Amino acid sequence: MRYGTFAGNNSTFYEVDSEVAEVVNFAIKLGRPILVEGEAGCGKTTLARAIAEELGIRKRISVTVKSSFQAKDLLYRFNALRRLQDIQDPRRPPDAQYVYPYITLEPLGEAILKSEPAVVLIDEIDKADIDFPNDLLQVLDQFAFDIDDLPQEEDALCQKKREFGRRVAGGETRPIVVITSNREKQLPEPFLRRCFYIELRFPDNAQVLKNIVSKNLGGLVTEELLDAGITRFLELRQEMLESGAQKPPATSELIDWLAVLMGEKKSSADLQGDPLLYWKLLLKTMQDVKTYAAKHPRTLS
Amino acid sequence: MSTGGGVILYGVFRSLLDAGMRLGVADYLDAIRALRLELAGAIPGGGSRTRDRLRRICHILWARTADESRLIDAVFKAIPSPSPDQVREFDEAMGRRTETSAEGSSALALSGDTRAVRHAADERQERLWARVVFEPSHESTGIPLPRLIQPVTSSQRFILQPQTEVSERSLAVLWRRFRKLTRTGPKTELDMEGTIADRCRRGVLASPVMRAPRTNRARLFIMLDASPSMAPWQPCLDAIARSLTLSRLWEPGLFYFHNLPTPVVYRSMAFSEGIPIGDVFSEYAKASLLIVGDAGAARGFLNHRRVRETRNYLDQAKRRTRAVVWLNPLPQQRWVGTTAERLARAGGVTFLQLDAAHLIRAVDILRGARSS
Repeated sequence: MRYGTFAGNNSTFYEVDSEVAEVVNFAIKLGRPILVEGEAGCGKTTLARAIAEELGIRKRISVTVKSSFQAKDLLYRFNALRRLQDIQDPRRPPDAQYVYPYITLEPLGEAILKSEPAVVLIDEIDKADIDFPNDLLQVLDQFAFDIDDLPQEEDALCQKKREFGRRVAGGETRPIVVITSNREKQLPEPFLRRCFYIELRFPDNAQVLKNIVSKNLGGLVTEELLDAGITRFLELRQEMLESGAQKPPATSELIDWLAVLMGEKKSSADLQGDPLLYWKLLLKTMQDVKTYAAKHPRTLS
Repeated sequence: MSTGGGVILYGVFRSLLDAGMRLGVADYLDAIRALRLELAGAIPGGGSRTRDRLRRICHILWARTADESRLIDAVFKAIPSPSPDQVREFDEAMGRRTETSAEGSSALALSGDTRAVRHAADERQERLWARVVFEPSHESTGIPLPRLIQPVTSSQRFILQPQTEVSERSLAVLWRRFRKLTRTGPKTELDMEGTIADRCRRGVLASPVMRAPRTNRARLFIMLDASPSMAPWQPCLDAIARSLTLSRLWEPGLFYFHNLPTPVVYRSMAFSEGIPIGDVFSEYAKASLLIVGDAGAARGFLNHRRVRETRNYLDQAKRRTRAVVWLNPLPQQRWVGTTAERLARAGGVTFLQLDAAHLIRAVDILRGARSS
């Protein structure tokens, strides 16, 4: 099966410029993973969802990487404890002498084996150990992996009973792999080479922002509140950027903030005061809150 | 590829390789596949077979940093449009290969490329390459500066990319070699052997025997020369400093000094927060010390006083640390006749050139391997 074409603005909640969409299309056609970096809250993770929705892919797999993760944790797990319990049980299942019943494929491994259209999101890869990307490289390059815990002599048996052997390899259709990184750790050069790189930037264009917000909040926000909100938001963002904010507010903060304004039935007139109404919703670190408060003395009252 | 896209792509690929970009055959084959997909209309936005479009593909496929994007742009500007003859020859080679081989085996098509693109290669050889020399130190004062030995026509561009001797990542990996595991902290790990032994002795299973987990207790502190003569290696010093956070070392120390790491070293590169060297040695008692500095080799002088003072310092350092290694960013042949050579010859402390191979050696010595 071939994937369709990603336009970037056809989903119900997401919008990216054509350049990003182009990179996504190349990655899909050439079967390479997509590495997404960018400011927090700019829609790195949401990109995977948008791709799935636009291309009508129902199978979506999302893995959030933890610091203790090894590459094989994404592929399969061997339940050693369960096997130990079974083997000591006098009424044990007949297969307990083998390893294969205790191996389960994890989402990525499953997607590789099934070889059906899927979007795999590997979120925050930089949280893992620095060897993690290198170990994953081979897998993402060939879309195949070995189950090291499965003994060689059980290969044929497992093949018969579980439809996979020691070597799991996919077919023609490769899942679309989206990997996000917050740049907490530097990623290895060969890994970067194998991925297609997207840096998501905050859309400073008010019209694009408006589209994104309307898509997410539906037609519930009045045009007037939306225009005023975005204008005031961009002012605050600019101000925070100039004062070297740790985490300048981005798209996700804007959407939350407007949702609150909407829920509280505020109008554009309420946004004209200083400090900005509900400004605390837009800032995420203590330092940024202090910076803003220092510049706007009336925040204290 | 009747407009010569293939020829240009190959030329760009070779130029980028020459410029030091790390591309492989797989990357080139991907670009060819992308070009074909686009010509077949499988990827939208294409169709127009212009140079700009080709450049965009190269950007998407090959560029990973802003520097690399600039490099690709520069290369595209420099590459001439191929003549119709070259295009025909290239297309013929490509066509013949793809007819004889199965569809998609572009590896063969690649070898077919070479003949057609030999033109471009010949042309490149005829082109004047710039050669850079360093002025011998005795002819100049101060740090020898790179100088072109051949005149260059003004239309030629040079793309210089700063590269550190060793990358931050390989440094981090290297620090991992530097370890000494000891059991410290609360007893949280099951001591299997101890538990079995305990059971054998008592005959019944009492509570399991626990022990502390092994942690890396190898201690390292690094002193970096941040004086002006080390300015060319600034990126490398930065890489060393950053790599320490990835190192998993137990409380690594990082200090800066000006020519001589005594009597005071500093916590910052701007020489603020000075600490008397004695305090540092007390804090890092029996740790290993790595020093990175040019030891007077960059300016190329022999300074007897500096030799004496550095020797005194190194004697003190040897007494109070586990091992000392001095890395010099200048290649060994540049040490000749300078303070650095005197210090290296005096023995006692190992002086090594700062590069990937010697760094491994340095870490081994710091771990306790014999230095000879």
